[in-house]
Amino acid sequence: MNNTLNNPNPSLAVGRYNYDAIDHQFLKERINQFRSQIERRISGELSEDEFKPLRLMNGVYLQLHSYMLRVAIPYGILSSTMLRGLAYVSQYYDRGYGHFTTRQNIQFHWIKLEEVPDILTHLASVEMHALQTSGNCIRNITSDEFAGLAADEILDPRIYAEIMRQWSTLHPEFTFLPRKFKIAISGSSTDRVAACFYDIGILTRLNEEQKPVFEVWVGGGLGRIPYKGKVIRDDLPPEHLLAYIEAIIRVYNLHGLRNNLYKARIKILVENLGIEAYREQVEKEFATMDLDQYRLSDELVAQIEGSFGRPVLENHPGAAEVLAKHRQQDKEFDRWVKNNTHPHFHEDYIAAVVALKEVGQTPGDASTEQMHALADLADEYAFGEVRVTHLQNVVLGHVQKDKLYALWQGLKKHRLATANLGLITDIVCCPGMDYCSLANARSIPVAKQIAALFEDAELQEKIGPINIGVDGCINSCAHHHIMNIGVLGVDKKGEEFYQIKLGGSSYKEGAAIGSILGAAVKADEAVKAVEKLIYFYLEQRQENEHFIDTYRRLGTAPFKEIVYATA
Amino acid sequence: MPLLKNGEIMPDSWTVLEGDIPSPLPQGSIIVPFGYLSEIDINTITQPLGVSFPCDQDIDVLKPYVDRLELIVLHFPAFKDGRAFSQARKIREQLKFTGELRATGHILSDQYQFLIRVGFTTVSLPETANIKSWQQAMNDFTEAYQPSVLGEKRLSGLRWKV
Ligand code: SF4
Repeated sequence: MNNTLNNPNPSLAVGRYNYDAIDHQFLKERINQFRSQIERRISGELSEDEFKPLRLMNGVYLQLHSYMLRVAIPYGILSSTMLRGLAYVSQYYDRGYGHFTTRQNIQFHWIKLEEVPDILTHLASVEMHALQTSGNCIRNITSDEFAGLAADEILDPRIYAEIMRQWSTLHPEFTFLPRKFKIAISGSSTDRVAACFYDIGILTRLNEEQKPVFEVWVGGGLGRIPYKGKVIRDDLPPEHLLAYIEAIIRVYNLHGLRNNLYKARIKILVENLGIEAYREQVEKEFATMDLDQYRLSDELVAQIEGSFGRPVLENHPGAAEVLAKHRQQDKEFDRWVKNNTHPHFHEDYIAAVVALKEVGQTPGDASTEQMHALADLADEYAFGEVRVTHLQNVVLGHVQKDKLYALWQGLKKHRLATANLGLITDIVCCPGMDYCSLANARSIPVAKQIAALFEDAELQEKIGPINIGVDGCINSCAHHHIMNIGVLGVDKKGEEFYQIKLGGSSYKEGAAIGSILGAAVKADEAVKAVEKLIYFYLEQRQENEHFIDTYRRLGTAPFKEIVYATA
Repeated sequence: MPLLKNGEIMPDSWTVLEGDIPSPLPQGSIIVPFGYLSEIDINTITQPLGVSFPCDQDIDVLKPYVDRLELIVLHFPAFKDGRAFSQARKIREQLKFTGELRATGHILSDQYQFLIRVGFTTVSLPETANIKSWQQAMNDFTEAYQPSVLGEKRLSGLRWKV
């Protein structure tokens, strides 16, 4: 069931909700409020303690060297106009780049507090905000990067992500939760969002009557105590989505632990109560609610959907043959197509993934110039739509197959055509001690050193699909817990050390939390350890086994021996 | 302590009783701790009765008393502790309480509209509060993205006029 067939209103930006006067007015009021909060802080009416959560809820962090502004990219969709807005901010208020995170946000790391209201005003003009990108509230809603184009999609999750974005915006009841609250949604039953590692993760399936229903996961999370979530309900009719998640969060708001930062996430409450008891409380709450008030009627959903622009996908007979010819003629292009594209439900189109992971580059960083280039290329080849992924890459979703070669050439000019998607140098990495005040250790240099070891494209392909996450602390922004190889920075008497974890896997099918391999080691040894792990795997693997399969077959022990035998 | 209602400072006619509750009870409107309700026969009290309810208890236990209560006070031990937002909403929507719902404790003016939208009618402010900030905060936003207990007018889609 795909709704992307024609665009009833070509003036709307594709793939996202377009604001109307009411939405603009709201953002204006929000920025005015923040301006006055800054003034009240300066006048002393607000203490630093009181001001901090207020600025956090506007996306402003105090980091090691500067303030950081985290801007939301709801469900990962940017229009070229929005991307140019971000490019503007990076150029005039930061140092010429932005950093894409694993939660479909972008961070600017060199911001002046007093300039924040102006930045927010500029962002509002391109329908963007930094609302609830931090703080103990419902955070930016993330979604599947192939939404609206995947062949297995049952409904477009972005419509429901937008509905949840609106509903959660300054929710009067849920803006002071025990801890932050993260929601992800996919419109298919294939998990592309790591649903079971979210506070609430939502997948979609067809029920016996062939009607779409949501499978709702609750209580997953990473951080200090990682948990795989549990299914609280597997047949939620979409019309009751808001009522049901409101019930889930109300139970959490009332009963979540508040006296210990590390035990305040919903995962601990679900674990302590047990999923049955939690479900019972939620159902009880749900039963008391005025469902009419929350109902997502067909009209309401259609109205929200009507504010989304849709690409006009036409038939282009022969496009696939043209692509095949280009691939034959250019081996480098062929490699990129093989690694960096995803099928589109329309056979004349394809989705292209732009890896922000060139060896030597900070994973997830994009320069002002690259943002402009991406915006231009999106306009030319992808209906002006750009998607950022939870693995810190970018997707151009609807590219005509016969134009893919031209797009690739354009990407290459801006060093955006690295053909490493899903391969070993496609490393997910948090900002770590280079920026983040919570860090124990630097993560960026470690990620770069690992990538440098495997720069050779053929070697990468030989190694095959694998994911690596490097985190500067246990908060796990780079998801090291659920990566095949996770590297975690720890502090040992003021020195940077790294723990290595093996066997993590992010998605519902086979989801697993990695296990610690052994004692933490220094940075260069950690990099060497990864190298040893990989070569050991290459020796041991059977036929075309992926790294994770070899690990599962052999278990931790032989890998541990290889790393620690000589150490 | 100044009492705020609809952005205006109001006289507070209620007497808060804490610790050992005197017997006989003082005249006039009284607020008693929740625990006290189970110690007495509530039918013997003829004066206006309010209760101060802790933030860590399930509001369902108020059910037997709610028809007799004119005021319920809910607590914010810290402004970051948002339990009372949910308690208030449940008291309005599930217990159908229509009397005065009062917020007390550490609260910021930035939370005023949230308080109103989950059903609070009054806020007990510290002496040092900047009333102007509170009055301003009442009009910070003219619209909201979710239904509230106030039954506000729906603008369109998921937007309500506040
Ligand atoms: S994982 Fe830790 S160090 Fe890295 S960005 Fe997150 S909080 Fe900072």
